[in-house]
Amino acid sequence: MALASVLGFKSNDAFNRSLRCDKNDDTIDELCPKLNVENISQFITLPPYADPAKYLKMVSDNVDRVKIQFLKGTTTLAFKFRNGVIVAVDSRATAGGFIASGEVKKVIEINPYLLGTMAGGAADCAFWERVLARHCRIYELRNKEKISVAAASKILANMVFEYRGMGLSMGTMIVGWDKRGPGLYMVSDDGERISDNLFSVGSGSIYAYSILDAGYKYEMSTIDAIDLARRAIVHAAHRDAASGNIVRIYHMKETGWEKIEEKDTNDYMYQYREDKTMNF
Amino acid sequence: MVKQHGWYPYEFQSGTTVAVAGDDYVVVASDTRLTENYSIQSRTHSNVYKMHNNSLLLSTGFLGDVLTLKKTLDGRIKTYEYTHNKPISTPALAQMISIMMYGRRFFPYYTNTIITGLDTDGKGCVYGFDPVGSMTQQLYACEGSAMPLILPILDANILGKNTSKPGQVKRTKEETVKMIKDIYMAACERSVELGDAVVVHTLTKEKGIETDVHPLRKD
Repeated sequence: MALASVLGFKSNDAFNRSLRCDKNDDTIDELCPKLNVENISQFITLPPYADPAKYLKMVSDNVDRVKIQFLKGTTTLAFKFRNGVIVAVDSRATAGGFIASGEVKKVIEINPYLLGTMAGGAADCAFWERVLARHCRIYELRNKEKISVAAASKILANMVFEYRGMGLSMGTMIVGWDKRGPGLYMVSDDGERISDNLFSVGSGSIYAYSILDAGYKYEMSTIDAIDLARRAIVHAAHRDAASGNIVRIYHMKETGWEKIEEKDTNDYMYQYREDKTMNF
Repeated sequence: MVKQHGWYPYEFQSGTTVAVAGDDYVVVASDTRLTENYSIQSRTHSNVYKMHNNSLLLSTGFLGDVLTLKKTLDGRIKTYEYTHNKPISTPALAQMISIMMYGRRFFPYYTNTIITGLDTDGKGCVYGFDPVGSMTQQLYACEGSAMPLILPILDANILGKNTSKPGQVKRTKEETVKMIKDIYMAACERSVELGDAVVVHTLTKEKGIETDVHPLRKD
């Protein structure tokens, strides 16, 4: 059982395994240990059944009105250009067919020069990026220099790879500026970690990609880059039911990230309809 | 519906909770009807739980998980107080709940929880969670079986969304309590799982927690 071994559960006898689990909820409450990469398994409880991914899927299908719906979200994008990296996200969280929230913060500020985006399961992204933030801080204190974007994304990918196939849902982009310049990596829940100039993740990414691919040039000015990112999110929000509400834009520069704006996508859509101008 | 033979550890017990944050107060409300598949288990069960540090936990879903979550949380709040020599603040408690609930990522607490209280500046704060601990700070929150009925009314009344006068409407504590009672009375006309009574708690720095019980339809 893969999940059992990840959580530190040792057993050779299949019949007695439920009796001999060392890591359980009591341990947490007695000691309240600090959460870090090495002892995450102490925090995550071993479930009493074999296949978590299959079981959670069954439970979310409305049997006897029991419907466990996790918050999932939607359209995020990031691209490198000559003046740094632009990150743009929407802010809608859906739970099943219901809009649970229109003001979710999908850009997670790991530290002043590292950003992570959230797509897929909200809790998964928030939790693992928080663990990553702690690990980055410890690295900085131990080595007296900022962690590189490549290393940070590698840490996250390795952590999540341990739980591969168990139902985590996470598609995140790690954006930062280190001594090699701007960095952009996409990390997903199956342990995939790739670097490129342009990414979009989420249910609305197909719409965002079409706008981005049409208008992207590496030599863009900052204003054009922000406009492109904004248009991509607004159009994705318009066509994708699970994306919408507020568009948030961040700019990653050499001095760290800067929040550019957060405005309603609806208002922009009306404005674009009236303007009918496109630069590409 | 044909149900496959298997192990179903969860149940869905109804209950609707509402929380509204103000400048120096928090108003929370819960109905007192507990149902399971159209039978009423209890008419006096409130979904609001007072925590050790004067925060209010609102939790609906599966009652077994709700009570366990509350018990485990109480223990951890006390541990915090003993190790740090001060009561835990509501934002810190919200973060703790988030991590605790994620600890059960592969066998979730089937609860929709809201934690409310006053933050360190005395301002009201409301934090909502999904079943695995995704935390969002909100101005107001509603969870439970009648959430689809009540949440749009809150959107329109508090933030003026989709009305002819958009924009946030500031209310005093007493006006908020009255609004919430009216909302519950309206919702119980159209929801079978809502009724019996609504318990409204107001949390302020000076007076602590004040409770008010308002009867609703019992049919």
